[in-house]
Amino acid sequence: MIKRLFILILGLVSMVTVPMGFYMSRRYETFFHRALGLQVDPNYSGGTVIAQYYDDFRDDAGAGSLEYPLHQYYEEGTLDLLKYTVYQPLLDAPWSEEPHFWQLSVTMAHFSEHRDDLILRIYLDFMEGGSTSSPAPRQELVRFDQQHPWDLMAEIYAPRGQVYLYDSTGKVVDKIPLYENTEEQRYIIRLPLKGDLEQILDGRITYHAVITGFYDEISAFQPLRREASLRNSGGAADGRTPRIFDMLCIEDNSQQDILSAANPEIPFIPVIPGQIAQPSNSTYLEEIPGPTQQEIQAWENSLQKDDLDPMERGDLLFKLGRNVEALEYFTQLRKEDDNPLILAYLGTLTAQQAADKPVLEAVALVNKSFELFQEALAGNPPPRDRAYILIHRGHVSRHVPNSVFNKAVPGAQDFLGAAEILEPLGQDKSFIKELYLYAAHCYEIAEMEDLKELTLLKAKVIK
Amino acid sequence: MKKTSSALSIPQVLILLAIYILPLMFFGINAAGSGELPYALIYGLYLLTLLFLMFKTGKISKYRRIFFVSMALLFFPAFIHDLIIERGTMLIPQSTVVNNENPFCHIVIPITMIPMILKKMVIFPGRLMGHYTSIYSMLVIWVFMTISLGRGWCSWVCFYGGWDDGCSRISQKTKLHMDNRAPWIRNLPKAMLLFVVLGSLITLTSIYCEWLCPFKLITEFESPTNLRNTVALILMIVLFFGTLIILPILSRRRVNCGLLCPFGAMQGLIGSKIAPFKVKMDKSLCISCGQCEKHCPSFSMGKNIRSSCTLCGECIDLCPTGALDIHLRGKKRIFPKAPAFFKELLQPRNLFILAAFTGGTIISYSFAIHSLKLLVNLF
Amino acid sequence: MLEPLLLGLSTGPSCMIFCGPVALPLFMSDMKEHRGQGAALLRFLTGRLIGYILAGFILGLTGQLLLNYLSPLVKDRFMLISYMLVGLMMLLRGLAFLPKEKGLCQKARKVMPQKRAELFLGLATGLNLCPPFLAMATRVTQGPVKGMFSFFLFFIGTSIYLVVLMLLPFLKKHKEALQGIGRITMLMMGGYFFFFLGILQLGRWQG
Repeated sequence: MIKRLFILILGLVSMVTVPMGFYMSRRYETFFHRALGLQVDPNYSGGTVIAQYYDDFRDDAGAGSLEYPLHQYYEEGTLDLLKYTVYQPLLDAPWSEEPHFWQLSVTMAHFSEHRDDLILRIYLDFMEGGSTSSPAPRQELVRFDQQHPWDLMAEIYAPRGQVYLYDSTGKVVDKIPLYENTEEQRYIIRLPLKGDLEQILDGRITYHAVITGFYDEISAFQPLRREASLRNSGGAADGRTPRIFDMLCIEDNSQQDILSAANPEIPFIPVIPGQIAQPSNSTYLEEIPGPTQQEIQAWENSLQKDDLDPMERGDLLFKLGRNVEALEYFTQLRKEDDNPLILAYLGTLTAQQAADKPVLEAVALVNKSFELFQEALAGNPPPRDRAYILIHRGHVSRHVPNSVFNKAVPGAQDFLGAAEILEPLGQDKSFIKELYLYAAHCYEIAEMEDLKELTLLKAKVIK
Repeated sequence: MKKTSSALSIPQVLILLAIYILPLMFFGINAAGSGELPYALIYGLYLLTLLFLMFKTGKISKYRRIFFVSMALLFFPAFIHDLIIERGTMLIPQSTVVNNENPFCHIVIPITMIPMILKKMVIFPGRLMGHYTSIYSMLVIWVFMTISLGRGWCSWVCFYGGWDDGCSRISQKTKLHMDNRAPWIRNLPKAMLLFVVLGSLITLTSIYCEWLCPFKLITEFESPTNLRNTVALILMIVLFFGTLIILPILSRRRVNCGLLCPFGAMQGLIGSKIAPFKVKMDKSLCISCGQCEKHCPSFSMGKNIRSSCTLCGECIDLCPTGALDIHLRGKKRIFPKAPAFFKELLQPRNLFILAAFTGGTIISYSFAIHSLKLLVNLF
Repeated sequence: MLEPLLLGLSTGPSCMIFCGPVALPLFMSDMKEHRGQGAALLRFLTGRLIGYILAGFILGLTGQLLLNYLSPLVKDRFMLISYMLVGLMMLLRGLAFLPKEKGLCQKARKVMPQKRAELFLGLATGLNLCPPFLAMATRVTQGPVKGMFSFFLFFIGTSIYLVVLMLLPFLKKHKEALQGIGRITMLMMGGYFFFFLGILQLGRWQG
């Protein structure tokens, strides 16, 4: 009889397994990703990455004096380079129309729907000889280091979805397709390994210069004016100011000097060697400053005051890490006040209690904490409070083990959601930046490298 | 000995339908996009009717085939329509390859398996997650389906299989005899599997997708801009019409699914070992009439039932003595001594039909209602 | 000193990705008892060793000169030729198993008897410019004798993995099925190497 019951259960389980498979396939992809850690073969995604450069210095409309045209069509950040990636050249790439190619990609700060006016040039030095000026007459008023004259230039010409390849004499030698990845906000080009470019297959060091500007039909790079108008960019010192808004710049020495500054001479554009180790970004959380000794002292002093706002008192207890007192205080306060923020504090304090509890009890406490957050959010708090509740929940999500609660991704979303609410409310930029860094950390916990990286990049442009 | 009827009584059918309605409602309504609810209801009613008839008449294969063929026919209009909306063409644009956005289908699973295990690499330019055709999504569905249905996938859930299944029953007479017991027919599916797996290892690319998949014709294919792609295109057309239409009509067998599909071969090898449901023969009832061997569409019936059996139910329906039926862990009836009502209600075949039909339902729902809407708007 | 051996051991699994698709159908298509299988594997390995020693000699003699001369594109072309040769041999071997008495099949049986196929396919896989082979090749710089010795050690390191094929005779219960599967796979694989990886890719040479 027991055997027959077992068989019946097996049959019923088989029936349930079918819809379960479908249900889980869509909802638990990150869980499976964590367990299996699969990646698409680099042969399909353009090759192994050999170098990545982060341009931390915004475009010149942010860091310098240049201005975008005034029409709302020209969205901020459209010309802002964030990252430049160099891949290992690929031979016999499967599924690729071009079997042998070298992939390069440029990530932008903002992938505006109206990015047709962008022009982006990548100058490459990979062999003897070459040119130190940009191809006349369609030029951007820059010149290149004598040490690294360029041999090939790829011009990303967004309006036609094309990339034009120029040789050092300024002649167009080839036209190749431009690929865009809107989700990752990047342009991708695949240079065919033909002719001179075949030489890079010996593993030599190559040098790259990347620049962006507004496209102009007559002169390729739109001339800059002193004052921006509806359709024209402005902020130039004089007519010789280079017509570029951003360039790949990995050291803080030259971007502002080169771009909008009134240089009597045409400046050099720096080149970036193509084989540097990937910069590490695992230390990003250290950028968030902890409270200083003075601040802690000030909090202690404030706590002594008698006329303190009740919420402020609780907040101080919480910030000073006096958790037992704080928990007691907020529990009491909850009885008198229906401020949803109280629930948020209680949520965090409840979750903190779980730290030294046995597993089952800890799980129950964490679950209770999330219920408190849920209740707080259901209370329809004003935007700023709502953001703070999200931050509380984000921190709890970030700290509880993701393998048990699977909260890292929701945590990242909470931080980003809070940033989205607080930014227009004029919140301190460094605070917003912290939120992005925490969100990136959540993505790191969830092992979602792409999103982590994108979030870190977003954090970097907040200055 | 005459076969006892497998037909169920109305109350029994209603109980089974009530169980089926739960996933139908949950996934069906979920699948309906804006303005698609009426079509979701029509499709739901259609499925309920088929399942009702299947249980009521006790004929598995006839109604299963109607469902299976309609699933195959409703798959491609929606798929192609979505492709054209998204890319403007059925050709695979390079941008899709560059951004790794190609839909990952189940047939590639055996081919990508070894690099996945050895190097954690997927040799396919698809999305890892975040899409209904993403790699993880398909892998998870496959694992769960294999555990429960085994190779039953190939007659109940696969949205391609309806082509040769339907064509194999167009003609009443067999014009091309393909002997189930010929060694090459027995070995070809496994050889094909071994070949695509090993061949794909050398270049680390799925040679099945590149050269041998006939279904590209109704989904997506590479533009014939060079010799290589032109040859691939010609092969694809020949394989589509040859192995999915002409040969199945002539031989009354599922030539592509039974002989050439590497996924089917893998399901035969792995799924039939894992899944609890199997078609079994009661030798004491068998009168060796040969009907099952003659009509088995998937070349699975020889001296014994082979692991390649897709549980389509054809032989069960045809067997004059009822010697063949779906068993659960070797049992034809779970509770043979229970009252007749429960004994029949809980027989393994009913549980399997419910599970497999639910699988087919969920996988087909969103594209079926989408296609229905497109077709109605067309006329 | 032992670096080539260790390199062979560590890259062996990748090696199997290139040698496995040739060796597996080759041995499956003609299933033998343990002894016969041992002899067959020995023939295959001898062929492979000859290939490696040859490569070690040439690379040791020319050193990095040859490697520098061999641009990846030239290597790519060399691979095409080697694919076509392997494909042709496998096709012939596959045809030899067809039951037809006369014509091409009979000729194939004459030109490519099993023992010869084992030796020659071993040689071809030994000269195959697969990634582990290239990794090894970059380390050979000290003259022909040392070159041959290094490649010999590398051969030992990688060959250990091929010993797995000695398990085939244990599956003799399924001999008939495995042999049938192996023979069909052999034909398909030969065709794939020769036409799809060979002939159809020739167009790329113009580029």
